[in-house]
Amino acid sequence: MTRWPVEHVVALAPDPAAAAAAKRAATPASWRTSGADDEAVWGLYGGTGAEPYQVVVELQEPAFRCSCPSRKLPCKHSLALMLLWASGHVATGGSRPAFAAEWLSRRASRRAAVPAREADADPPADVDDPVSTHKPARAGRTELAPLDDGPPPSGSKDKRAAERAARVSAGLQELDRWLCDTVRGGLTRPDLAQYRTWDIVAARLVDAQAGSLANRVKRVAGMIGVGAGWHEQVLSELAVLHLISDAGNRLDSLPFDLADSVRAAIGWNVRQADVIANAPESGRWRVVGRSDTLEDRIVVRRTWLRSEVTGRWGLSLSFAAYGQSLDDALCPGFVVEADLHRYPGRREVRVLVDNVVRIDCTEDQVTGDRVIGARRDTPGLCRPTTIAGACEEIGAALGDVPWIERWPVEIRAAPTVDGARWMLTDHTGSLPLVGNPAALAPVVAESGGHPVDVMAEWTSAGLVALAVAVPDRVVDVGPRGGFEQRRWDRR
Amino acid sequence: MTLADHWNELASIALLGADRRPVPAAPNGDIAALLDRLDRLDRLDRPDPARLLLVQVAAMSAARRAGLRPNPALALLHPAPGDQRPVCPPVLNARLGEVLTAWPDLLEEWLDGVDAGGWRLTPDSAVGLLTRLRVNGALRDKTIALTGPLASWLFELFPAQFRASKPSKPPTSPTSPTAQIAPTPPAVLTAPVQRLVDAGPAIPADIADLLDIGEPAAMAGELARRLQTGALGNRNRASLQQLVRQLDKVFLGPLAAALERGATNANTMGLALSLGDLARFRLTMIQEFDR
Repeated sequence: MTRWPVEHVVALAPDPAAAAAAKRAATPASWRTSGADDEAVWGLYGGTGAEPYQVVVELQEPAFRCSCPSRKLPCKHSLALMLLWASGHVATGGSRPAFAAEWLSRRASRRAAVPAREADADPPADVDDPVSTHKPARAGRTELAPLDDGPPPSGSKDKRAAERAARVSAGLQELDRWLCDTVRGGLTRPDLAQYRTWDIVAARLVDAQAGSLANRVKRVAGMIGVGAGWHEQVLSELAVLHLISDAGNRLDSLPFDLADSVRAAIGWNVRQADVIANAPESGRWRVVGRSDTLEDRIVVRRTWLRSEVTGRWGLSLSFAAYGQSLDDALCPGFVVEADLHRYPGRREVRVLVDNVVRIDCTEDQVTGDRVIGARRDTPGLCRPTTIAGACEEIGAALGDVPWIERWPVEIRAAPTVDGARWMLTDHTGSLPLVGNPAALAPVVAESGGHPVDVMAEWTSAGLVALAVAVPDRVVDVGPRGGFEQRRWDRR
Repeated sequence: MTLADHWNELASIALLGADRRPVPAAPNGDIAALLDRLDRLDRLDRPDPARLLLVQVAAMSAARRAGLRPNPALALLHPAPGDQRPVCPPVLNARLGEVLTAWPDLLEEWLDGVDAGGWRLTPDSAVGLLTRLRVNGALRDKTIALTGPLASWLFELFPAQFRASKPSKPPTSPTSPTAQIAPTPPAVLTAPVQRLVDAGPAIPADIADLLDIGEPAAMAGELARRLQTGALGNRNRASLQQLVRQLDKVFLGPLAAALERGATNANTMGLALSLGDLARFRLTMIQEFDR
């Protein structure tokens, strides 16, 4: 078979990260053996495991098989092998190794067993393989398929994916109709002041498997009648909901990364295995702040990390049922070496923290089977900026993804009062601080009225302070979901 | 019409309802161009006023957020007066969290230890304690003293947050932070067992005789034996805890060991282990202060 253009191979990648990882793996030295004939390409990739990964690509369909644990299809190894082949680095004409011959013959026998028409429409899953074969994931994603790209969209799975896509789409359309009805009738409608009204809308979104949107709708309910400009806040949020629902119904036309962000905003889940399969960002990370919020009887802990080298942000989420203890492995002030695997999406900050390795530390924390090494000898934040600098960072993020609800910033500024409102100020300007006095008092006390390094989350209502850096430590001042007393538990 | 005027108009329409007032076109400029593109995308041939309003607000909200600008710079607060005392070391600060979580009755001893060391509270500890101790006059006064002039500065800024439930002494000067606090008894052992540190409930006779046993291991063994035999039990919990809180440090180690070792009576095992934990916790705290 004629070799493919490289662009053709790259186009098979389920996401940009997989393509990038494949390019890194597409070096002949990484492959112990490789070969190709008219029907297939195969190779043994020398990964980190004891055994090399067995990779086979059938060219006609194409179909992929790799013994690596990645749930992505095609995985980076399959893509890397195809890239090598496309660039002429795979010898042709050799005999097939056993693993390739066996898999290809199984596929051939199955194809012969089913009517050609069905085989074309729905290639059978290879039940013996750890990773089944299927058409490239990209084809499935255009149909609002979940990001998980995992098992083959064949048979019942294909049907389920289509059903879910239809449910989400119907849910988005229903939400949009409700949004239009709401602004048509006016925000002063009495029923909007009742939580029940919003809960019904949220419940329908949950039924439509749009969980993130449902939570967002519930949060809007809490804004009704709060503060002088509540109607502007609510109106903005309704418009953002409209924006997301509209974008969710035209995912095909969006850039790849933006479509991923829309999916995340709607509530499509991404499998952890897929995230872990992405190339990690490795290095030293500072834990600069965290907050706990209560959402639907689940406490959500947001832990912010920042790379000491690149300044990139990472957000690690952990969850606990009400009353249960949260993951306490990453405390503000800790410096850790870790691999951060980033979720897909534009400006995506959410990460999975993996391979946290012990460094020069004064305190060990054990979580499950992981040993977290942490040290406190280099306290402080990474790179605090001015108020104006923070506005630029926030604006750039919101310009890329307008529905972002919070964005992290590190600011060197002093808390002060403007009328009844607490603000952070420096020579470049000021930004409002939000939170009750119990949350703001530690920030003000640590500052003593002077500029201080503050890590905060931007929200549309103002900055929420999460941590204050003082000369010998980082003080955790983040919200605790209404359980302020628990702060003492985590010092 | 400026963009700000246009935004206000959209907000007013949203309050009244999009059916009651027509949605105006956006003023010429970037927003209008963006909306024009969105209109083409949406193919709004017969624009629904409600949808038109949402589209316009979405575009303007995105633009307003992306164009976030700081408010004018503000004057700084009058800074908090200085305090010459060193701040409480991190290890003691961490111990405070454990005191409040595990053995809050040891808070007074912890505060006394900080005072004896010549330290002041860290600002976050001060805020936490002043918030927590709004009803306890004695402990609150000690906290205020150890907070120093920062306390009055905070009271001024957060009057509701730190308002005491009953009259409290004003903050003392940083040079004599404990001038109005009763002096802590000397750490020197004046009797085999140091008696009451301050006024508290009297220890009943069936426990008080333990105080006459001068040798730490013997006293610890006798207490463990009484718990083991059931002579002392959960009915004596409060008194026993007070006893452990008053013991000199030389008794604490042997007592913890004896209670942990001898806790086999099913009825009193929990109490024995709890008392052992209190003894060990208090010993650790005292040792941290001694360093």
